[in-house]
Amino acid sequence: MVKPASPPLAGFACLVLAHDNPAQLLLLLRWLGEHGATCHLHLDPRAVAVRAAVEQAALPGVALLPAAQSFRIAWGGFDMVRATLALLRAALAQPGVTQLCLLSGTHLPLLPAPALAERLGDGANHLDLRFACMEPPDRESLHRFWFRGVPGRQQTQPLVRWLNRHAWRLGPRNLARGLHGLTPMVGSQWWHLTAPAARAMLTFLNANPWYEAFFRHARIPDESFFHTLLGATPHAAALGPPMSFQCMRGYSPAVLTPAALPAARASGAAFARKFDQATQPEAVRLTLAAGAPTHVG
Amino acid sequence: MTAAPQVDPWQLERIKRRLDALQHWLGEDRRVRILGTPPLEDIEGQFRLAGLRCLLGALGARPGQGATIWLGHGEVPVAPNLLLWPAPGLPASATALPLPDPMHALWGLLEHHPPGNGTLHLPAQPDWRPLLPLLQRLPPWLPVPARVRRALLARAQRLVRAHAEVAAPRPAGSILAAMLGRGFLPTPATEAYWQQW
Repeated sequence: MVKPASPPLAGFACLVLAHDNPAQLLLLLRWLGEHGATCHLHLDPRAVAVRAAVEQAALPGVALLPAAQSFRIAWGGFDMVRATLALLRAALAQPGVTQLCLLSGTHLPLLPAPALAERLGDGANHLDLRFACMEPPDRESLHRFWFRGVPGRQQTQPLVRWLNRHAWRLGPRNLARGLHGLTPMVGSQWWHLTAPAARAMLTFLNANPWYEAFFRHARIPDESFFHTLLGATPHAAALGPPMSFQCMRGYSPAVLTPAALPAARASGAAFARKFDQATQPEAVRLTLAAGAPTHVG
Repeated sequence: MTAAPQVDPWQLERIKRRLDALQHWLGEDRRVRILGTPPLEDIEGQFRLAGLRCLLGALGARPGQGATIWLGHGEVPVAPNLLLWPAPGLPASATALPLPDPMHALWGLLEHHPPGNGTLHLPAQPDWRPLLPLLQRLPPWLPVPARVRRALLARAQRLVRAHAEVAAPRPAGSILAAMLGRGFLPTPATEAYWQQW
């Protein structure tokens, strides 16, 4: 008797953070589920309609974090890290997980599932990982670690902008002492980790509660918390190209149009964002058609 | 003219991690005495001292009677647990710590800036008075507060950043250049150091 082949994304646990656009989110969840990935989903407790839509869809392989265990996420706040950690712990509690991908609800795959599995299954951790000190000083550089930050979108909230601009008056934090000698690292929020790397990171966190305490006051910690942590483990030696593509417009990623898709594919990334079926349905259709056809509305 | 080669940042990270071995030498109570500190005009030595303080702070060490770290200036102290750093003229009884320069503990904590122009020639002797006018204005008998020391180190960083590369006769100068993202012109001493670590 021939043993049925396992789906290409078997062993993949996708951690998905979302708060709106349920139609777009369901497209991603369906695609991942059809190819054998399990999804652990965090929804902001305020996203009642999205939660209802996900529960109604009752997709197989999707584990939705209960509202009571979810976090009200402010842009650039530490609750984003808490939500990710909750998903990470839930995913690693399941048997058979070999890879973990952190995605937003507006991500879509750029590759067919077998090619995606091959790209990310090379034993490396695929993320944007950089030394904070080497960032241009006119951007955040080490400032995001030195000075405490108030969460919120600076470009639209003048008070947040004013507070963060004047945080230096409180004086810089002692990074060597605060980070216990770890080197500050940064990168894009979205990552792919191998299960051994993710387990090593959780083991470190469980043994060192000071680490979370330090990052509670760092600016935009979702772009530094996991990066600094991975950088401190031997798993940083196995580093692959970043797994996510996005096209920034100002402080936010732009919704991808069909014209932006060649650049996304040329990037070599496995996933891209932001997709929006409501405003750019053709980009969504083309992206999914290039992979495996699924339920495009 | 080709730019001086730069050290791979991950190599700097690996060297920094080797300094973690210090915690095994400190003992349970983590009390440390630092002796033989460099004179103020030895800015490279001041960076070494700053790196060592960073490292000890990161390891939760406190000043006190415990392990002794001697930074190579003045008389070799008589201490029951003597750690030498670096190790010039080691007495036979001394315990040398086989670790890289503690200045490496500052890796990742000093901002890089876009490269400046030209080559900064560090002095043949570790005396930065010709490079930093502030040092010339400080009377040698005056106790220097920590704030002034920090200002001196900040000025030294600005000086290195203002150049594209550094000609460093000593390994410490090349380490400072590497940590600030600048290449350095190799000498036998600096090449030997980087090959060792």
